[in-house]
Parts: sequence; structure tokens; C-alpha cells
Amino acid sequence: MEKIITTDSLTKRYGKKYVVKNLDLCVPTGSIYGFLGPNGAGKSTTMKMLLGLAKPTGGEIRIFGASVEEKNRLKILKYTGSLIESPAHYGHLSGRENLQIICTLKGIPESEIDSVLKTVRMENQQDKKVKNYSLGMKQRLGLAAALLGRPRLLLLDEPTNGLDPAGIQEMRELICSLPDRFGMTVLVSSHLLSEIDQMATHVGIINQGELLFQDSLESLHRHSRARMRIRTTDDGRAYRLLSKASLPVRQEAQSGEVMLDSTEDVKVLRCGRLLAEHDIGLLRLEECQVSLEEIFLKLTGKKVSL
Amino acid sequence: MRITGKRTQEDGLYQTEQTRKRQREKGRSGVASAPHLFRAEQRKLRTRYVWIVPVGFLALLLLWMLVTVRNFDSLDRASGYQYVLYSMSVMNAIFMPVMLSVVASRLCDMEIKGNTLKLLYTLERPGRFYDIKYLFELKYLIAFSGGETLGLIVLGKGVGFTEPVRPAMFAEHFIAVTAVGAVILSIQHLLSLMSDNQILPLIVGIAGGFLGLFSMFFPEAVNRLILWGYFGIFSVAVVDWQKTTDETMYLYYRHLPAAQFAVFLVAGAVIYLIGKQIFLRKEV
Repeated sequence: MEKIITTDSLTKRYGKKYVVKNLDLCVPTGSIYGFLGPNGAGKSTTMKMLLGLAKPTGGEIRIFGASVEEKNRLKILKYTGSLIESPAHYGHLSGRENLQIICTLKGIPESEIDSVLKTVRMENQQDKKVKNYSLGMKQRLGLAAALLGRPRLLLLDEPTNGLDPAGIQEMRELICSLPDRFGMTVLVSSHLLSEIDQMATHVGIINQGELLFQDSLESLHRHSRARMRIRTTDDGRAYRLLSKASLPVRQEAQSGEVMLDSTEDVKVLRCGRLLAEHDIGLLRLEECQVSLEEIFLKLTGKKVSL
Repeated sequence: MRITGKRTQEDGLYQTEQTRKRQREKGRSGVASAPHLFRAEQRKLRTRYVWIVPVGFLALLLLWMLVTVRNFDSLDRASGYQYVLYSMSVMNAIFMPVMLSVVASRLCDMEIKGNTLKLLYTLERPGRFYDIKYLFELKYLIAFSGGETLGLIVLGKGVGFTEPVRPAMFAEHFIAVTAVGAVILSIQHLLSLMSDNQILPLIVGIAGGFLGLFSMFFPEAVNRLILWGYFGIFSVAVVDWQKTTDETMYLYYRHLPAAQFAVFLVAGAVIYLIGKQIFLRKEV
């Protein structure tokens, strides 16, 4: 799959503290890439580095196949829209006037303003001063500004922060629609797993500046499939027996319990038979579901916000 | 031929392909051109009424001057322009730093409050943003010093000064006031862009005004170290304190000291560039 963003050992260090460490990001073209991590994990810093707002300490960034450097940064960003942290705005001007400024800076006709206002459903509030907007309206205005010029790549940093549930739902639907409607690739960061779960096609999990997981959301979900917990009169022997029989088992380091990474009837039945044949008493057979939250917790070591 | 496409037409973005083409034609470098940047800056100022600041200060200074000179006798009127040029230098030292801090603050505060730098830096080079913002502030300074220079001439004519207008001295007054103001403005510009709270730049402006006034009474060597004191140092009308008595103030014209003024301009440019470097190092 073609990649729109790739980073190679991207690093950002303030003094001795690594904020982002050897990050190898890989964002497929046309995807909604959910960049997930707890607060302070390095998501915003990474996005700022992608946009050239923060200078990397080391590593390389490639966007649209070109290495991003100071001299070609703006050329590359011309096809990129962004909404980093809180939305940028001029409070003393109306929403429309704010967008007119962006049009002037981007060198695009103002006729596009109506289109983006329609996309973010803000036609009726466009003449109101932005200082009187709610946070949700400001976020939508920020998204409208990012959509001006119809960029190929959109970078959204926690776009649902501070929104009410209805606003979150609306923003989520809007983001989900962008790849199909306009052929955009969206990199969206969040500390909310549920949010990424509902929006993204691909996911990258970052914690303490390091990328812990990166793949399709489907792949992450595969990690969350059900397993069988097996307790026997002799767990050590049971594990050796079942693994020798090529069953997908592993032994929990702490409890010593045997886990069968499958809930298929055939495999469960085989386990039972093998244990009985070898005189190992089966004490408990329990199905357990690993949620995404548990995976996240396991990967980051932090309790996930929900 | 209509450019249509069912899906994109529904979205109201059917003209975007044309937009992209236009964008490609407009600038392959991706950098917004200077006219675009100036136009964008101009648009930001809508409803900010920044003109009120220099016009208000100018009105205040000229009114103050009018009150002072309206009862001049014929002897005073014979050297009236020397007096107003000297007095205006003192007043500039007090009021101009405050005026400049307010102007810089009005223009920069909107960027800080609105968190716009993160967006602007993806559209224009930070250095260019810094320069163009400064040039916009400079516009108000030039209007102020130009208005002041012309205002003094008109004032003199109005109250009947008999001293002839010496255009060279007024031109030098304008140049000196603008130059000193421009260097002070570069400091206010930096402070306003670096401060989340505009109180600090305003305090610096007010403190600079007082320092500039008091520095006129310091020994010359000390006076030269204080930027805000240069309104007095480069005043084209000066008091001869040897001849001045309680009853009579002796004034004379003095051309701008070319070498000293050139050194000041170079130092001013260095101050601006240092400020710009400090600003560019700041991550948004």
C-alpha cells in the first residue's frame, strides 16, 4: 500500500528528555490513521514535527514521497491541511472573514469558502464574530480552514477535545466521510481509544515518545479476540503437553495458567481430550475476552481514558 | 463546459480541481507571495481600529503644544519652530514608546490570543511573518511621525510664528523620530509576539518613556546607552544651557550627526535581527 507519510527514527529531545524517540510512522494513502496515546505521549509533538512547527532532533520525515526540509516544507504543506491543538482563529472577525484570510494566504479563490462551510455545516454562523462561537463551532471552523484548497492530507490533533457528545459524533462522522468524499488521507490523534476505534482504519499507539503498535485497526482487533483460560491440576505439564501438540497455547508468567489463544470448538475439544488422556485434571475452562482497553493498557502501561 | 461529477457536486466542491490547477499555476514554491501576505495582514486589521492609537496620541501632543504656544509673544514667535521641535522631542520620548507598545500589542495580540501561529507557519515562513507584521506596525509609526512633522508646521502657521520654516530641519526631525521609533518598535514587536500577556510589553513601553525622559538629564555617556533617550540626542533643536537663564531659553538648530546616526541605524538593524532570531527559535 502506498504511504503518504513515513518517518524514519524521528526523534525530538528537550535537554535530556526524549519527547519522541525513534518513531517510524507509516501512514497509508487514503486511510484514516488514528494516532493514539495517553496525554503527554508525544502525539502533538510528532504532528508539529510533521508540519515543521517543531524541529526534529533526529530522523527523517517523508510526506508525499519527498523528504521534508525547511526549504521545501511549505511546498509540501500546500497540499496539507491541519488543525493542531486548539483551533486558530481571529476572534474579532467573523467566521467567513477568518476563512478569507486563509484563502488569501493559500492563494485560492474565495468561492471555496461556501463549499467548506457547507461541509462543516456552518453556513448559518459564518457572519457571527468568532469570539462569540462555542468551542465546537471553533473546532468546525478550524476544520473548515484545514479543508480549504482541498488538501490531500489532513492532520487533526485531538479534534473532538472539549466538544459535547453531539459535537463529537458530528465531528467523527465528518472525519470518517473525508477519505471517500474527497480522497483525503487523515491523520487524527486522540487519547480516547473508543474514538479511534470508531473512526480509524489504521492505528498507531504511542507512549512516552515510542511507537508501541502500528497496523490496521483490524489487526488490533485481532489481538482482542477471545481466548480460553485453562486451569489444571498440573499447569506446567499441561502447557508442555498442549504446546507439543501444536495447539496455540501460552503460559501466563505470573499465574502460571495456560491460555489457549482460540475459542474454536475443535481446539478446545482436543485440549480436553489430551489432558484426560494424560491424567491431568481439568479444574476450570473459562472463556475470556481481551478488550482493546486491555491491549492499550498492556502496551502503554497506563489506564486508558474512555 | 460544466465541470461536474455526481459525488463532488453533492459536496459542493466541484470547482476544486480548477482550484488546484490555479494553485499550481500561482506558485510552485508553495510560499505565499508578499502581496498575498500584505493583503492577509490588512484583512486581519478589520474592526481593530489601530489608526485610533497614533491619531489619538498625535492629537494629544499637538493639543498640548498648542496650549503651550498660543500665548507666545513676538520674541518667542521669532524662534517658535525651534521651541516646538525641541519640546516635541521631549514629548516624543515620553509618549512615543507608549504609543508604539500599544500599536505592536494591538497587532500581535490577535495572533497570540487566537493561537494562529501554528496555522500561519504552515502557510508562510515564520521570518516573513515577523517582517511583514513589523512593516505593518512601521506604517503607523511613519504616519505618526509624518503627521507630527506636518502638524507642527501647520500649528506654527496657525498661531503666527514669524520664524521661517526650515524644511531641512523638519525633514531631519521626521527622519530622526522615525528611526528612533523604529528601533523601539522592533523591541516592542518582539515582546508582543513573545508574551502571552500583553501587560509586559505595555509596562516596558511606559518604563521606556520615563527612562527616555530622565536620561536627558543624565551625563551624555550614560544617555547614549539608553535607547529611549535618543529622541533627545537626535533632536534637531537643542537648548544652549550655557546661555539659558531663568527668563530666557536659548535654542539653536543642529543637524543630525551623520556618523553617529549611521552607527545608530546599524545598531538598530542588529537589534531587529537579534529579536527576529529570538522569535524564530520559539517553537509554537
